[in-house]
Amino acid sequence: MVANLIYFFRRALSTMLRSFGLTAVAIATISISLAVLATFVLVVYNLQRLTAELGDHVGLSAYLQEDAWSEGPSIVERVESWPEVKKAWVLTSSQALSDFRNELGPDSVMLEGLPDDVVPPSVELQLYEKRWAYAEVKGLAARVLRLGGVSDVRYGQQDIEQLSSVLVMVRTVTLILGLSLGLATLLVVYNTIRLTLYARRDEIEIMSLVGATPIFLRAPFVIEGVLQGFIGGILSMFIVSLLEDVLLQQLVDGLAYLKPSSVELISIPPLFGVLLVGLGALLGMLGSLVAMARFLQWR
Amino acid sequence: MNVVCGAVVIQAFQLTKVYDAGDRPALKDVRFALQKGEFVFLTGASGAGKTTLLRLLFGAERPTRGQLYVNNRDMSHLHGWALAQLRREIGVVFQDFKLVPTQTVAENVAYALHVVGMPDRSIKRRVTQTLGALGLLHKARTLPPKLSGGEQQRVAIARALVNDPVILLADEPTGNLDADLTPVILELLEQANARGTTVMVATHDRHLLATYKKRVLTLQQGEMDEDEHFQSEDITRVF
Repeated sequence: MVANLIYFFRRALSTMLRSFGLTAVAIATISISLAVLATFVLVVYNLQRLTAELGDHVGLSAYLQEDAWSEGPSIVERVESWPEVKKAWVLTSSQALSDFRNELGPDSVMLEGLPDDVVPPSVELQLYEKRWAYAEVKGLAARVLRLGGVSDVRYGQQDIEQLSSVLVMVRTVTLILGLSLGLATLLVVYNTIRLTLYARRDEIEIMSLVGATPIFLRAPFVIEGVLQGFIGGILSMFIVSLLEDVLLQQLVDGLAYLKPSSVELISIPPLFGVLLVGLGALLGMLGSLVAMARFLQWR
Repeated sequence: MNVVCGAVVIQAFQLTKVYDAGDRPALKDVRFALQKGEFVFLTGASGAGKTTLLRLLFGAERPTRGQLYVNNRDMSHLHGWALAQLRREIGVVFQDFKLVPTQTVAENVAYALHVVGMPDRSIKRRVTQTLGALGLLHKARTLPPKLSGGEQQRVAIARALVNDPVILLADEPTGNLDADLTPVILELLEQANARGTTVMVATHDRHLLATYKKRVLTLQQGEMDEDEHFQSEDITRVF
């Protein structure tokens, strides 16, 4: 048994080395396919986390009418009695402008020369942390608007809704892409193993004639497919780890206006890496099994 | 040479093989039996069914009708693992040698031992012994295309004999060789026979049959035409 296993691995490796060009192309295709797939999964994963996190930290801004700036404290007192509201406070015009300056950073020069009261004062509401439904937050905003002295209510939920629809789209694209790339990987391995089988048909025939069992004939080719997928999976992890910093930075920049400071975008978790390599090996195995199913049928 | 015969290793009853329905059968109602330790020539003109019979014997084809038993296995129902087990008991030598050109002589011979899961050290020992016995040890690391026809046929015989088969089937083993190499190849087959291996050699070379006084099975258009035993072999007509 051990002698057989060693022999299978040796044969698989010798075939891979002998047809190095073919094997390299197959591994490169597998690794690129898996890397593209992994990148999409990474983006979906982070968008999902971000959407969930934003949903947990909902805040409302009630902008005060020009003639009701002084009513801020009384509005705070009223809304703080509502069960949904954890905390409320008045944000003065100058504080709002100062926050805006901080957000803009070096670009804050654009705000120079503007009067302090360019941004109306507001009452900020922080809600208790829970997964807020869009309708709930919308209803609460309507109640705030009905309070006297409030001209407009803005809340991040609108952005979350937009983000959610983007997430659904990206998830669908990832699913379609995943299936397509999975199929492509399968076909690449299938083709490589088929060519290998064709190149080694004399050897297979001889082995069959001298008493090789069906398992003995198939095992080296299954191992070859698994190794191609395995190596492709590991390489795809390297590709993603090289790209992810750039990609995540793009995502951070794109979502900077939404991202609460508590949310960290994360890179590939170790389990995902293991799954990726496992997926590569599985696709490799399936590809070689399909290739052999027809080729070795007559043996 | 007197052959000591024992149990029956090959038996065919009404053995028929039809490749395409409507065509003339490649073999029709063939009957014969071979005992352990026999040396038999299978002869007939081209297309008489010699190769078909050999292919049935090592399980590359299945009988259409009739029965064929090889070393107590019914060839009509043998496939997969069981067929592989039987093939380990049969050595086959082909006219075109069927050597893998990208593998060395030693690696070609070792195939028959790898498939039984023999450890590398034992394989090396057996291959060395066999190549030595056939005078090929100095060619162990050579690739087959660099060998002469006679050497390639000897490698094929080495591969067929390396695991001490019960039966050795040779399909025109001298057909592609110069006439002066025929005795060399036949001597190797006789040596295997002397060690107890049942040998069946398919040939259309009448000179070979006349030179080596063995039992001769003659096929004509797929039918067993003659089963001739030489008195020197001390074997009487079976059918």
